[in-house]
Amino acid sequence: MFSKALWLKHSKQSRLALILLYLVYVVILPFSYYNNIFEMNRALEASYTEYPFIYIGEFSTLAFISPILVLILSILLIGIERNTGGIDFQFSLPYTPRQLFLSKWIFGVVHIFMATVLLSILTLIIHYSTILHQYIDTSGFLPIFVTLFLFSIAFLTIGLAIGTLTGHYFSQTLFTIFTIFSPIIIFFSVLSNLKGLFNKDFNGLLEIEKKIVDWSISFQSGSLSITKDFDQQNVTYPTFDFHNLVVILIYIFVFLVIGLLCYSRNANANNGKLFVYKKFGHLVNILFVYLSATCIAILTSTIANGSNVVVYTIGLLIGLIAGYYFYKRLNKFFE
Amino acid sequence: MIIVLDARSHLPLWEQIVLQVKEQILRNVLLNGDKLPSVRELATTLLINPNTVSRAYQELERSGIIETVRGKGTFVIGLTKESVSEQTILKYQNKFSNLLIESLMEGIDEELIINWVKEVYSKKGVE
Amino acid sequence: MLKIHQLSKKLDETEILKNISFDIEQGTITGLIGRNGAGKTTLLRTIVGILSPDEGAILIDNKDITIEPNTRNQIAYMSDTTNFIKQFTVKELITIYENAYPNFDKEKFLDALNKYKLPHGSLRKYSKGMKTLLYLLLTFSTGANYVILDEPTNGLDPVVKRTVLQLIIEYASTKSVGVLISSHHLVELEKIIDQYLFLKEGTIDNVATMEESTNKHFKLQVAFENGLPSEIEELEHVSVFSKTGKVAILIVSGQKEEFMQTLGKRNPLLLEELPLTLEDLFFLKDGGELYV
Repeated sequence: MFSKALWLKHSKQSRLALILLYLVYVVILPFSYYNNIFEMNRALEASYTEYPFIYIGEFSTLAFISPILVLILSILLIGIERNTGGIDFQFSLPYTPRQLFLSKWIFGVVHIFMATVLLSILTLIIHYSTILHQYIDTSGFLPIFVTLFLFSIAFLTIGLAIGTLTGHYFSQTLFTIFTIFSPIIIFFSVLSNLKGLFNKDFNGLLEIEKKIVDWSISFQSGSLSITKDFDQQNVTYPTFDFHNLVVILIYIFVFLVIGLLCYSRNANANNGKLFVYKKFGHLVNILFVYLSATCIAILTSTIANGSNVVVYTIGLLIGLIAGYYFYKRLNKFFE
Repeated sequence: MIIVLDARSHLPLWEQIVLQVKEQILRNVLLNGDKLPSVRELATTLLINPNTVSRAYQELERSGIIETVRGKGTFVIGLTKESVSEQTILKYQNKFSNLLIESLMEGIDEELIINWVKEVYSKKGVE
Repeated sequence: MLKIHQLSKKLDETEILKNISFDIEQGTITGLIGRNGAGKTTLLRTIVGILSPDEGAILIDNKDITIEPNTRNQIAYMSDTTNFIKQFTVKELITIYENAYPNFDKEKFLDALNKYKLPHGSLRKYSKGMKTLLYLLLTFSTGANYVILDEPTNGLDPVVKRTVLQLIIEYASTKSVGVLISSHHLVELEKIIDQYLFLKEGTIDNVATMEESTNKHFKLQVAFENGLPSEIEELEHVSVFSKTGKVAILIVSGQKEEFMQTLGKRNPLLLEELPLTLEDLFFLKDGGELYV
């Protein structure tokens, strides 16, 4: 899995994503952090009564952008090659599918690690050589960088794992995004259907919603911003949220296992299709139809301006039929 | 050594090689002691399977016409009367009879054929 | 020995390969021929590991390659396009191959590059022939004992094609490599192979050497005053390759002398034996309409 042969291939394939990754981590982010100096100076000079806070939020922004970069990386590492002949080439080499998958994962981990380390070094250099370190200490940095790193790895793992199930980068992209938000999406769809069909309101809704947010990967970065309150003269730093980290690690583990199990020679027979595993494709089909039905039902209810079971059911039926035919068409396009 | 293969011949390639080597020795194009190309060389020149060349060389060696010296190569050692084996005789008998039957059906006279035979032999200085 | 044992493969619910068995010995060249769609590409992809068999096994020296993955470095594959490798430089390709195949002979490869005047650097300046040649050299330099080539002579000019064929012959004989070539170029293939596999509708219709086949079948050109007699035409072991007016070309299976005598009784105007080529055998086994 550390084979130079594979490493070279991965580098070549994912060059664009790597450039983006390092550009953001090593150039844009440090530069953005540097700009906080001017904020700080302004706050110090004009006694800021209107906005007495300075808010260092680039790491929170990075927690939003990094998953996108990492997703692009995972598509270039495992998705595109199903269309370029790269997958044929690598499977004809003397490696097992597990070695192939692991080498992609480790490749991604190493680059994300290096980017994070470089970012942290540059941040610290900027921090210590400017006025920033007079007003802010470094206690928040370790939680920021460790969380960022693990958070990005989780998305890498999810992206790669989905790539072992999909046959085209189109479906890999869409399905990965869906998977990331799936807990909330499914929760709300169930809610909407219960309300629309049976007019059932849920007590304890907020409880369940909180639970779902607690276990959804998209919400696990926590707050990575540093806030300095000039009024109260205090600073809030991000800290280690062990619940977050545990959830992230669980996601990494689960999707790593999925990827290792699902990357197989046999799946290559279906390269280019939406999903390489037919049965899984059927499941997704059902899910898609269910969700599109729910969407249309919500739409019709909104247009009809009221909670009417009949309107909702009509919407469901339209959505079911439309979703079914749309998916069928989509499938055919990718055959 | 130049071998020309005839795609239109009924003879298998290895036999063609054997025959041409024998012919070249007969015509003194190949002399005793001359070195033949290696199996690999001949195969790549003619673009044929090396086992085909091997087989031809084996047959020639078996007939005592050529000899392989380890580390040095394959050399012509001469065409002698003893080298015509029983098998070869039978094979040619078969070939001739097939050809004769064919030509008979075409309506070619026995006399004409015998004349041809005499012609060929008179041109060659065969021992 | 590379042994393909009762290999079966389904794609999209259709049986593409049915119970395929054959052997490839080191130092031999085997031709894989068949119509487009007969399953050749699927067979090759399954052997080299892009697909895995539904049933059956692939064994190298009696070791199952799915159970002992180390044996896979005994198989090297050259696909029918250079589309993937053309994005790399020569140096990068060397890195890939020498790290993937522990027995890669770098020195010999570089010598060959010099010999065929293939430049180092990016493959962008390479012509199709040069790319194919490079790919072939890489594949043979892996030190693998079994080399699988998918249509290596496609689209090549006569000069490069000759070089490619020479290389294949050379490696098979000196390096004792077992070569499996899938090709439609039957004229050249016929001369270099030890045996051929005819794949028809997913099964091996025939495994034979050219000599075995030319002993079993023969090709005749005949002419009759009133055209080919229908009794001859309807004979089971007779295939009419073409028929125009009085003349017909037949491919016959079985005893030659017997048949010639049978024909002779009907007083043919012309009776001549023609050499039987691999192309003729191809048409015989899977030619569809043989009539011209």
